[in-house]
Amino acid sequence: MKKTCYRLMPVLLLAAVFTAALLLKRYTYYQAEFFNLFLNTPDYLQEVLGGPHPYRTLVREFTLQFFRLPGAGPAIVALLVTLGFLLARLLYRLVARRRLSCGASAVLAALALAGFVTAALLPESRQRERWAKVERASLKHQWDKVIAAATPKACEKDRTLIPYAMLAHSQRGTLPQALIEYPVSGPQDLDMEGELTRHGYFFSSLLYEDMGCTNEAIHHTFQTACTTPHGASFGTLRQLIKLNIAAGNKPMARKYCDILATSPVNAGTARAARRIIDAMPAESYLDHSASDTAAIVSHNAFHNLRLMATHGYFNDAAVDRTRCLLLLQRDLNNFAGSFPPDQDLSALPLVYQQAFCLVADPRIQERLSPAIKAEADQFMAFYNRVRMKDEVLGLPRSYWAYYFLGY
Amino acid sequence: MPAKHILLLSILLSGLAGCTPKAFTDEAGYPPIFPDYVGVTVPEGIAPLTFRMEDGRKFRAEQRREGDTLWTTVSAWRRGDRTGVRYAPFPIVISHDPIDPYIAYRLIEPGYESWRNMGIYQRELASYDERAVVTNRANNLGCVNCHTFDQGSPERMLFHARGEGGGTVFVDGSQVRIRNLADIGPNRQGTYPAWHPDSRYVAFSANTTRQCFTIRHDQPVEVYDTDSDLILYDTAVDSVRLLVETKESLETFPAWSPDGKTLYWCQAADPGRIPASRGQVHYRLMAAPFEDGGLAGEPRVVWGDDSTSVSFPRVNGRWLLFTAADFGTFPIWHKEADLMLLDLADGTVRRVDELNSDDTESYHSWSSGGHWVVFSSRRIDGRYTRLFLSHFDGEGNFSKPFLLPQEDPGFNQLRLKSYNIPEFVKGPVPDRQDAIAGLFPKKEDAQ
Repeated sequence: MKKTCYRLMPVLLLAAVFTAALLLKRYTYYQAEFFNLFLNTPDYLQEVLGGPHPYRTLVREFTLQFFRLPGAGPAIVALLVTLGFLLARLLYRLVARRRLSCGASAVLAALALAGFVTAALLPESRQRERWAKVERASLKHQWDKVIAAATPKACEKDRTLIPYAMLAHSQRGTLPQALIEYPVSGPQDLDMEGELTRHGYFFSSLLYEDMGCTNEAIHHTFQTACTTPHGASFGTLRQLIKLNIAAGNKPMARKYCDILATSPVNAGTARAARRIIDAMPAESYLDHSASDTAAIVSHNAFHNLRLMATHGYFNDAAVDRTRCLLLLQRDLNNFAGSFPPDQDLSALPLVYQQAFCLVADPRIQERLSPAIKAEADQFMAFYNRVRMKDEVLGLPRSYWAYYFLGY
Repeated sequence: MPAKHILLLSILLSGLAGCTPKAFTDEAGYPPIFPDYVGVTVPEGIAPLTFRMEDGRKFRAEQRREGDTLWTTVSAWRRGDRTGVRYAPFPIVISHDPIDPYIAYRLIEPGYESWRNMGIYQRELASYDERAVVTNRANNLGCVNCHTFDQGSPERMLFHARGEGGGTVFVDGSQVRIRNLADIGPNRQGTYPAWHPDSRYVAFSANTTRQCFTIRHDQPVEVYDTDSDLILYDTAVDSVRLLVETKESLETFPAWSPDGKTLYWCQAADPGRIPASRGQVHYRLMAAPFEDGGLAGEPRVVWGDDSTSVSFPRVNGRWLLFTAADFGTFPIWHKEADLMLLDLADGTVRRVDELNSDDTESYHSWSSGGHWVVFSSRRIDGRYTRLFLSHFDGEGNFSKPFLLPQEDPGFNQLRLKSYNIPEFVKGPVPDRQDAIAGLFPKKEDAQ
């Protein structure tokens, strides 16, 4: 019995840590792989071997590449924790010249598990996992998953999730309504342009990809890559392949495939991408003339969206995002001007209708539904009476409340 | 020695794996190989030119030397083929014109705003040996750029190191020092350097450089100057003074004639509102006599018009090689950028078609003897700059350029860095990484 207990303990610990890791750290591990790199190229090996702690780095980065496989991250971590447990038991046996008792072994295993779970439940770990979850879901365009993770309540606790929630709603076509459902306090909540960090660049790359501006998505993917230890990572290479395929740039897509193919875990991805590249038409994208008419894109999402519009890089999500940014800037004239003159206003999202109520143009006012006008009158009467933010906040959230008081 | 090298390596690379077909059919054309070494002229002693079939077929290469021509016969086949193809032998001409034994360049990701790891490296041309001269680990992952050597001397060089405690690093033998040029002159930092042939002076442009990004796929980045002048650093007295300064113009890319009596540079009228007006910025090639540490005459326009912008003038006797783009001052992001050659004797200019490609050609340097040129080009994939060498006959003609050989030809594809600012060096540059690192405050997270 004691022998069985002794042998069973590592297995139980392995299973318990695996389960805990799967539940608490799965997305953190996926993203760790995204920002990791291990290549069988001369440059990579030279860089690692010439850097600090070369062998430790090599082992860590080699191992991390497997975290891309479903369940592999938790499994590897569980294995490492269990190995630590076995090592501790072995050390005890060598020092004390007898085996650890079953009870003590169980206590040791419980301590190892508790240590792991405690670390995983630390606020920073939870926040990292939440970020990783929305980052990965956004990367895979799993917008429902993003919305489920970045709820209005979750965004109140962690405002850094708001841009992801807005991106997801923008792709779902529900961005206008989300403006008042979420704790959005201004245009800055719609993007991370001023955030010159890995998270900010990563988000911007996804944003521009989803807005249909591949060039700018590549720009921010490069920026993301520069925040990683080797100036490139598995995830950014995969993104660059995808984006260059979208841009029709075969030579660049092929180059990144060749590089990615030197990683054992990513070789299959590279092969699949190569098949797509081979099926692409010849390099039709190449236009070798210089142009000074192309738009300038700086760190200003609103400016960029407007420029994209004038250069034909505009999809429905980008149109909605531009209008929402105008609303958040309280720029109602340009907002109204972004619609065709014969727009059926009653068919628009509620937030847009609320905004139109504030446009002092009789031609617009007469096209609004009586119901929304009545609601607007009601709000204005209340607002004029109290003019107190706290009391107005008691009303259902509306664009009017944002416009006059902010949230 | 070189022929032996080439022969040995070609055989090693000849797709030994797999079965060789017993029969071959003859093909009249030359083999499609990467890099394209068909008909190139190479310096005696260069590292073996390794190549592979463009389409990935297995191959065998046999070589024979006839005088100064190496004839290479390539036979290629696919796995399982019973019959292969034997192509017509192609020539590689071996030139006895001397070439400097090293090239120094910067390796950096061809990115947008940031970078991670970069460094200035040296490559021995007789081998594949590449070693760091200095990397940005020395200055806490800051930028290191614009290296130049005093007449190609490996003992005397300078480069800029940006970031905290940054400035211009001067290396003179074992002496390493850093100077903030703005502190010892008219508040200008040096950018593009040119070391005077008498070794005393260094001319710099002092540029206020910005960049912007474009929506179009074909030109993602534009780098431009909002202000630039020329300054002169006197190494003898450690001082800086203005050399060319105008309010209405932008001056950049200084270069000396070999005798040091003429200073060349590029100058453009500032249209204002750059970058919106960047299409109107056309740099002309300028020149002025130089004497006793100053300009000794009025600047004159040597060449230029409103349809071309000149960068990187480099003089070799009566010849001046420069980069021409449609506009602006940063041709590496201009796919239309080409190399052009000016005959200073008669003022004629021609586009050097034998060197140019459909993609970008940009920075270039002459070897110290003037027989070879190394230049950067993005012709392989459109973004990652690679180095090409070409022989110059002294009469205005270049041989077909060849890609800097690598031990594995696939290395060019796998390298995630661009080559910047290739400069010939007359010998190996001593390792000064530690000494240079000592100039900067230590930061643990930069490791």
